[in-house]
Amino acid sequence: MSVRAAPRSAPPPAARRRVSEPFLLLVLCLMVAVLGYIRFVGMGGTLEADAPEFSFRNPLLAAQPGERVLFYAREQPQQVSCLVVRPEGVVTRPARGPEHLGILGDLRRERPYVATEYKALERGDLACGPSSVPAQAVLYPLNDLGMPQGTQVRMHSIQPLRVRWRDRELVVYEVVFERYGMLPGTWRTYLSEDAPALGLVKRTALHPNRGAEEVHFQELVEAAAAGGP
Amino acid sequence: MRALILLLSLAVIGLAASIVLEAHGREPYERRAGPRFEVGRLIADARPGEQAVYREQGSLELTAFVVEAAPPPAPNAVPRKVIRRELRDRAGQPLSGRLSHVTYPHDPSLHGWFPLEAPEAPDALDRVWIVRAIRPDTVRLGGKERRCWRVDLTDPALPPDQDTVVAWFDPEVPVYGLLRYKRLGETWDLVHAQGGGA
Repeated sequence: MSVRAAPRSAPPPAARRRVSEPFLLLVLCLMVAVLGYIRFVGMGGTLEADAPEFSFRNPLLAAQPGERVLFYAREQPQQVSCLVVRPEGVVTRPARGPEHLGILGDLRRERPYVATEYKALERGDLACGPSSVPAQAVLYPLNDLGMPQGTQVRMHSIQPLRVRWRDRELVVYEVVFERYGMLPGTWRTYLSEDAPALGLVKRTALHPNRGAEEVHFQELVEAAAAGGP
Repeated sequence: MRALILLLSLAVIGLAASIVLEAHGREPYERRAGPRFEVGRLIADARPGEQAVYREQGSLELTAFVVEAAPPPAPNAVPRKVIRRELRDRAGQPLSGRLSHVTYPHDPSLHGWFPLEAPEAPDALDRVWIVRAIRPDTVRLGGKERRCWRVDLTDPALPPDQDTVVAWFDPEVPVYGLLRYKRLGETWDLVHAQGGGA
């Protein structure tokens, strides 16, 4: 006759409840405390505090001769060009400025501008140094906030945004334009006092027929430290 | 005990839902936006018949800007406004002289969103005011505080030590949206507005 081992006695239901319920209660209390902290301390009221205040200063007025940035289209990041502020720099009184710059003429009755030049960079020349490719003079009217001369634009709005740019947190100003004539559509420039040359961080376009395109401007810290163009 | 567990469970569910909803309703961190200055609601959306009259605080002379027309633009061309500027004495009578009554086509892509000091020469673009800074502000006008935008400008036609212009803009004001402007020691206040949102 086999002797069946007596089953190990399980704790009676009431005792089990006594063990698990206080534990469950503790866990729930902890969850309420953590979630409450996240909701009311971590998230509470930060939206207004984080929204950047509007205090715009025209970054084009701070352009210094020799400052430079690389720029490239998002669709063709391998084709990099360099924008350099020319020695004429910021020309607030065109009537007393140069009559010609490169192939550009009749400048004394132009709108006030920053004189720059573009260089297409040779492969691997990210230092934006002297190039065998001739530079092309390009003017940036001071009131057009990042749109070059010759683009017919009408400004819609200016608004500060808090963004990340090249691992830094920046307040940039998004300027929205309607462009007419060539390449019509909605254009946007993003400007920051902390970005060199024109303060341009990015320029985007939304063409009715061609879709969206973006041009990114990239700071050239090492070349800027090396001196003039 | 069970009632307490049930209550805490509901609290957990409620807090979790609240966090999800709050996070969903926020803009992403990368695009946290501040206030917007709607430049397109100034001269760009002015309509024919709009009028704004300014009185200089010292001389009490008047300057009026009137939108005479907004001709339909050619395809893909910038819409222009035909603006008339009138200079009047303190009694409101037109001043004499060639420049007391000038009409010019305002092209926002060339002239920006401020009045031309030399409307008789709209092609002299080297005289267009330059934007230096913009910030929200309030102005006391006609006994009322008005929220507006203060714009610090440079008038390149003036000598460097006198070239500062300060203008306060409110999109509700007709024509250029100007509430007040200071130039060359003179302060011009809006005293009459017709049309627009004023």
